[in-house]
Amino acid sequence: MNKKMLNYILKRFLLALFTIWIVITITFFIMHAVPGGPFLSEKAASPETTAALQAKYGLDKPILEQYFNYLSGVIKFDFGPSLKYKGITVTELIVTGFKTSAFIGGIAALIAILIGVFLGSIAAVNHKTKLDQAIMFFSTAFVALPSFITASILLLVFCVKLQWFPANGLTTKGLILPIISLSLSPMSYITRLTRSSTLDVMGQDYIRTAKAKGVNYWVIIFKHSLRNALTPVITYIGPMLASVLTGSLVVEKIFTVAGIGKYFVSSIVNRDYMMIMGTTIFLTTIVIIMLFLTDIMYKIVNPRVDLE
Amino acid sequence: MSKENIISNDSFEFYKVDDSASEVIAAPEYSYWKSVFKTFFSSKIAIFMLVIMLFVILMSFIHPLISKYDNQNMAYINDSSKWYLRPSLEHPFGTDDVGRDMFDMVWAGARTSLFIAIVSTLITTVIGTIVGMFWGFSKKIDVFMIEVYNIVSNVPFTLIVMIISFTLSSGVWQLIFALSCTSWIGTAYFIRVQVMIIRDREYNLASKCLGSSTSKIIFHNIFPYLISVLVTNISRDVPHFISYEVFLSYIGVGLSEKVASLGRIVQTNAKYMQSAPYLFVIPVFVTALISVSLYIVGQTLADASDPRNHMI
Repeated sequence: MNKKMLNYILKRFLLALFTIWIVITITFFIMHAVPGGPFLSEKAASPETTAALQAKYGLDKPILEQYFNYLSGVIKFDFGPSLKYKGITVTELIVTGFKTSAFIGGIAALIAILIGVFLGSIAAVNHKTKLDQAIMFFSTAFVALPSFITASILLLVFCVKLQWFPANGLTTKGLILPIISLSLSPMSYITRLTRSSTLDVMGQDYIRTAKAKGVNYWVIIFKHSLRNALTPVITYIGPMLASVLTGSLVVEKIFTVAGIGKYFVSSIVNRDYMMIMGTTIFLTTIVIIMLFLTDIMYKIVNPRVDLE
Repeated sequence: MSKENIISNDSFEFYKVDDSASEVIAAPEYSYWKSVFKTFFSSKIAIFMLVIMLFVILMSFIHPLISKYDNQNMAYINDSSKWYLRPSLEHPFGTDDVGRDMFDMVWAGARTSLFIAIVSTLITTVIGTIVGMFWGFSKKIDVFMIEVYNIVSNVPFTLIVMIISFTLSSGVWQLIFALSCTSWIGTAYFIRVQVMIIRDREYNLASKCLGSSTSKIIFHNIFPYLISVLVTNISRDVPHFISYEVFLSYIGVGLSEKVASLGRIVQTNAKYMQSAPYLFVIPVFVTALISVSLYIVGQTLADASDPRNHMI
């Protein structure tokens, strides 16, 4: 670890903090600019009730004071009370939801990497055969299909028609389909990535040398070529985890999984401002951390990258 | 000297010099676009997808003109004999819970969704390309823009779109604004990198030495090179934006009930998944067809338009 590297990490870290602060500020002021207060859904609330509610949640104070209160709350991981679920804090909801989301997202990412790398190598080894074309066709189709559509089709076929799985994600068995629908798109992307980078590597001189030496075919593929071919895949892990996390907004809504995505979507429908702000800031922070780690990892894996 | 030995012009046969013939090049003729189409049409899947794509686009832009479909027209709302009719010759996609013809509705919805996706892609691409080309050239712009890019690219796009369209409330133009508000920065960054790669090539240095202005180098020398890159980007953006429209309308922030859109149709009919599946399956299938055909046609076209893939 040289000085240049440390400098880079420090600079990148400050940028991440700055981005999080910008996101907090923008979401806060956007949410307070939205017409119609958060208590609009309370049926025929008298002015006194509204005023009492606003005083309870500190909404009657000047906006800058509210902003600084909120900001100091966020630093302590306190996102305030939920306006919809009475008596529960946004932080509690986020923690409960994120446990489920992180579980299905983690498994989906793992499946995507394992199967994606496997299919990609198979396609590259069988370059320009029917198998390669079939793998490429399906991976292209699944990259193009919105996760919304794949999830709907899976739900329709396996829950409604065949009734193999329950149509909600409340049980462990019900989490299988959400995991599959989350993993299909990144899996296809990794397949394409692995295929093209393996094809690149397979043309290199050291692979020809290994072949000439009589090294076993599969050893060449999995030991010699895959190691180098995986560099682009490693750099994709961060963006993939980010896209799995935001993809869960869609999938959790369709399969009614009680994850952070479902809470976020329903907070938008319920106009629960505190919840919208909290989840937006939380999700963005997670994504920023992942991209930060990937960037650092990329520099370590691939030292040729210029740090300037 | 006898008369026979005199050399005159009559003794020679003159060769006719044809100036135009010297202009002919013996090498096979090369035309960029001809080569693009030749490569494109050599793929059978691409041709098949092109046919589907043209069919879907024509249907969505022409059929609503003929059917004059109005999503708010509930003429049969009290006539139960017109509700939930299964697909038949008269109603190829059946009718919904208030007797509206699904065939008209789906194509009108596809038109709205395609319109939003195409306009957003257009805005993203035009702004992104222009900004990106100057960004790649100017150090001053770079210092500022790279920080903007670093911040925006770190925030999930789905969240940006959801928050903006929630704030602006539902509507076609509001949605287009939400979709193109930050997405052009990604395109601009992409173009910037490409421009930085090619701006210092020899032919641009030569052009600069001969006195070409920066904007001439940008639009004459570099822009044509970017076509393939742009096609790749566009072919990714259109299906991408369609899926956002569908998702946002599905959760209820994208478009209102007043306009037919694929997302709204899927959302309102999701509850009939068991009782009348055709109401849900058909719009989902049409959305899938649009996304996949657009994407595959675009990707193949992008490969075909890359000059490095051309063989004479």
